[in-house]
Amino acid sequence: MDMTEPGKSITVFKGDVDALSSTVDIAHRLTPEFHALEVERVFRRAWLPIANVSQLAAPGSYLVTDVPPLKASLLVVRGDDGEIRVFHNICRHRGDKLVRTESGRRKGFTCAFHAWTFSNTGRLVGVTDAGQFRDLDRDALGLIPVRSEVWEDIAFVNFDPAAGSLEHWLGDFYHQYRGFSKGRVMMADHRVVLKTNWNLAVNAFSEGYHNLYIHRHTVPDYQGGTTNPNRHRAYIEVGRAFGRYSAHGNPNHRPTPAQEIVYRHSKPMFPAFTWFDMDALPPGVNPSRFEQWAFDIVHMVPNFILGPQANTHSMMWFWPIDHAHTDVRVQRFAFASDRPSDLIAQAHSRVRAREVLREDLATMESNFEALAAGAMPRIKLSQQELLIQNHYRAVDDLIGARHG
Amino acid sequence: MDEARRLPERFAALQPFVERWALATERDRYHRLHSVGLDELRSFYEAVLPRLDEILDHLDRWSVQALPAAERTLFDLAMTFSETAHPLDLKWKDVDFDDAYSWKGFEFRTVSTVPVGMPPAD
Repeated sequence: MDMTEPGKSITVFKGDVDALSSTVDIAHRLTPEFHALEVERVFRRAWLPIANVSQLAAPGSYLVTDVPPLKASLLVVRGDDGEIRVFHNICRHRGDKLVRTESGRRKGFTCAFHAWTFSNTGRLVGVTDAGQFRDLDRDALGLIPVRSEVWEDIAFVNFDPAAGSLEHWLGDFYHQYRGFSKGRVMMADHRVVLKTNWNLAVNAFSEGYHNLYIHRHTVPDYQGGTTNPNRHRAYIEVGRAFGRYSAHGNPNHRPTPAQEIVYRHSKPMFPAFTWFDMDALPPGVNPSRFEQWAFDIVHMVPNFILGPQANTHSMMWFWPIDHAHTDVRVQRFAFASDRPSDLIAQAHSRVRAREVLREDLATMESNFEALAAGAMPRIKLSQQELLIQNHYRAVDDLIGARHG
Repeated sequence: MDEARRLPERFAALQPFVERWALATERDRYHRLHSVGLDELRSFYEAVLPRLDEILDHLDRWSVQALPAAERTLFDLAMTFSETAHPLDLKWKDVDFDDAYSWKGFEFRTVSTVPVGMPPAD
């Protein structure tokens, strides 16, 4: 018998909620066998955000990143023609890793092994001792491209030759964030490798139910307030390739002494939320135009979380290394500035957010350790956890089999 | 005293904190925080907090690229304050709190929000 009160909530729900299941079979998802399926059918089929490209403004600027579940090292580079391209980071001669630096700016890339050289548009432009090669077709030996698209300031790739466009994958969502990150640059880039399954890590960031409990040390009063003591989400939407929610800022939040001073000199950011003209936002950000908006959490299937806020935003990747290890990458962004007080205020925000994250990371490991024992095959999810329900619906759709 | 690290004259009272607290990177500031006890952190916090308004006003007379050497040291000191104030701001009982993911697990990648001149492509 259900002993709970019918749920009273401020939450506005949108999307195909009826297609979701509040009970999810979890135990089998944490095994190496299931993870092998996820690698082939989720990570080789989905559009994957791989990098923020705000730092690649100049021709020849590049960064190297990797896609851990596919063991792929990728070179993201803006060519002299202004195009951003993504290539496998491998020399076309004997297959050594081509670029060994994290980022920089170059006209071309020369392999350390036998000094073959490729332009920043991917063409093979230099072969040492070329006369010793028979039938050398330089046009066929450019860098191996990875199918990619840039959406706002994020580069996406897709490893499935049969996949549709990114616009098709994202639907209307694709057009709803135009310009949201304009003028912003990276202010933090943090990495952690966790002993957890990637699904559990994404799930920990897909609901706000937990924040009354685990964030008491770092942000005790930043959400909800007296009118919303259970801190229900203001808005929850589920879509085919995404889920998103809006959080309710606490209008009675008490700034700490340092926070009060640094934000008086700069733009208030996390964990303070400013009320401002919502018309300045593209329609995807705070979609319901909730007046006491704090931030959105946008889960992009499978493993990426975008967190738009006034004056700042975050990007988080939860990359599986294997079924039991997750590579967590967190980047934070703020408006570019060379004013010292802006940088000191940004430092306050990034450190508070980092400490909040440490509370989340701790649950991701203990959650996996507890579930991996297999004693509990299923989890039960609330309406405030619809993004988690949607995550497993999306994973199963990609795998092509429904479980539970 | 290391003359290269002398603070601007009006902030000379903070000079004793420069050696341990005027740090240039997020990683160094994080490691410093976790290398001290709450009492040492409190003496730094209580010395800087009442001067913070004045420090920010003073530093904003320059862009960050153009800070003179003394102001650069003051900027590093204020950045370290900003990144180590939270245990006292939040009234923790220690520089760290229970049940947190280990601070040692973090890898910091270098970032810069400052618009810099593009280096020439090589």
